[in-house]
Amino acid sequence: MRSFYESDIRRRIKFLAAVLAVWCLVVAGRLVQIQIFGHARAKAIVQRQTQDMVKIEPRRGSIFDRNGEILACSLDSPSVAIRHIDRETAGQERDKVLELQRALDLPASEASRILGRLRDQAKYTYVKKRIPEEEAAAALALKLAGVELEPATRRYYPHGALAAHILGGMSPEGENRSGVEARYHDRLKGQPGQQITYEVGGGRNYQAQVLKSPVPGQDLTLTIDATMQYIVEKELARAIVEHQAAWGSVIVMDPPTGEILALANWPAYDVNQYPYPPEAEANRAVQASYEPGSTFKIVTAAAARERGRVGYGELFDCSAGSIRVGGTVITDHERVGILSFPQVLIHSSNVGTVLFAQRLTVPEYLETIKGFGFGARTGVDLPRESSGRVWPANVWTKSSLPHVAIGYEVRVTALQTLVAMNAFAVGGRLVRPHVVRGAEAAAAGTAIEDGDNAGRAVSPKTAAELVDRVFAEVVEQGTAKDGRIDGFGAAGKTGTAQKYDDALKSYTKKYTASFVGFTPLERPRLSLIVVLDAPKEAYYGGQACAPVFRDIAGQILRYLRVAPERPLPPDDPKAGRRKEKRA
Amino acid sequence: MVRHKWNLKGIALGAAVAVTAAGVLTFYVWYQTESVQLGLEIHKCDARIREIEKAIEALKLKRAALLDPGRVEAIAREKLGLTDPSNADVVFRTADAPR
Repeated sequence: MRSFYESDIRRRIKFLAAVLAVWCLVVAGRLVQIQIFGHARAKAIVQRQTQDMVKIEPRRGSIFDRNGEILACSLDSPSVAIRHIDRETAGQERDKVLELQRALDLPASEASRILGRLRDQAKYTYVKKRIPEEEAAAALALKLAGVELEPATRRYYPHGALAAHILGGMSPEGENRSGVEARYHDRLKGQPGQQITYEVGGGRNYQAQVLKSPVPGQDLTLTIDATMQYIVEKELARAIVEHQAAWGSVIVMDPPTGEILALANWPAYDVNQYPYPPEAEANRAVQASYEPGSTFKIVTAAAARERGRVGYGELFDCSAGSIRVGGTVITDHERVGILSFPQVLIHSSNVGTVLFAQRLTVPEYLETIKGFGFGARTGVDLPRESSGRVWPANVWTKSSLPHVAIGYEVRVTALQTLVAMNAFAVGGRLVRPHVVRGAEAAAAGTAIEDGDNAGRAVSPKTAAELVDRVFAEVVEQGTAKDGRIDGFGAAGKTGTAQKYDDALKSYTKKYTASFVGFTPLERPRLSLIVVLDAPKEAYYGGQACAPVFRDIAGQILRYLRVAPERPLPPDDPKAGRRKEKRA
Repeated sequence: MVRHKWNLKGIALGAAVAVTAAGVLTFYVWYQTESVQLGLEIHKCDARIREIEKAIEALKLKRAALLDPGRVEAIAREKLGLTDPSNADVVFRTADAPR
């Protein structure tokens, strides 16, 4: 027989077991309720949480000039956002929005928009996007439930309009369409992070947790020199005003490496002021093609000399001032008489050029044209480069060769012409122009290295002879006399091409003036092209562009501390006064 | 009456264990406190580093804006009245020139 104590213990155990069993049943029942009957609701809650996954914008890489000057960087510029809180009354929401309106100086329309969204129970509403950090901190200091900062950055260009066409610029939303910002976007952008925001305190507030930290973008060092860029932009703007040109471009390149030291276009724009004027946004130096006129004679001369079709002592009768070819007449700008081969180019005689160009066959001439890189992109690391236009041999007419020989029926970009002239500066070799330092460009997947050899255009002998006997003389005594630089020798070629009007289907009285050259003659430090579209009055390349070359090259050589090749002439007091006045 | 004989060895052992335990406990508490303290200081230093880095960035930007070539030229010409040097004013010395 069980004692009283044994029976009591058994009773208690049974009671406890029953309680445990009931508890287990309750737990199991709750599980069934949540997992099976509450499945849809639970799934919705999870989805709501995952939908609140916010992307954290990475800091975009900075852009520096070749000397480490900041040209572009990203500044912290958070956005203020507000989340709907279920338990808040309409009055509380209104008070909150009014406080934000005061702190962030929001217009009334914006405040009512935010309030409307809160009343519509919109989960996430931007109050003000990309604002200075201090302003954002003031909003956060109000400690309003549901108000949070979303990390973001805005692009800032401390030099404003400087190097606008190289940088390209960005919209506040981070869109880029041009310049290195677009070309090297993948390298600059970095990797975004991820942040989850979830409700706390039973939906009375929100908390954020970073799941993945953003990886900042890589910096970029350009080949551009900010000071040279400034000189170029200043002189180009001055030339545009002086000659009332429609647009203009200047490129300065380091001859042996192909590094672009400065590239400017006019009209330009301030990279900080988005949206940019459409007419100013195009990088015409690489995107606009034009008929070059006489600057193309450098190719014609090289083709004829390379094949031995013309001698330096040969004479050409240009006294008629015109020549009939294939039913059209090509004229000179003035009657120049009988000229030797170098003189034909020094005085830029169209008639003389046609006379020696006709000794070439079309395939031979085309081979040289393509050898200089015309008709194909130079490979510069800037977006939307134009390849110009060189017609294939099968569409050339009888008059094509003479016209192409003097720079018509062919379209080129300023950069292509510069690369072609640069070949003469470096012994006949074509270099690939670039704006980002070689190693960094290579890291970004662009196979550009400093001094990258993009092919040989002409033999070193032909190149050296043409420079010494022809192109240096063009500057010394020819059409580019106004391009002479005190203390330095220079070589180059002027060009003045009549513009073709597609609507009228004929050539007009408007011109494209250009000058392309390099300096000094011994160990060239700069290759430079100046193009002015539709300059008025003094529209010849030698009048409009050669002086710009002189002014830019003179200042840059002094900036680079290049010692003069020959004694500097005494200062002309009048020239000094002119400079002062212009400055 | 029974007289208890003190087990001195046992008492010494007990005391040693108690002292060791107290020492370990004290060390643990001290270690934890120091760790937390250091953690807080590291956090403060990190925040300070971030602040300083931001300040450096801001100063670099300010420097870039102040050294803008256009601004420098405008100050040089308009405020200081400087002009371009004449050819005679510039002396070039090459590396092999006598000093």
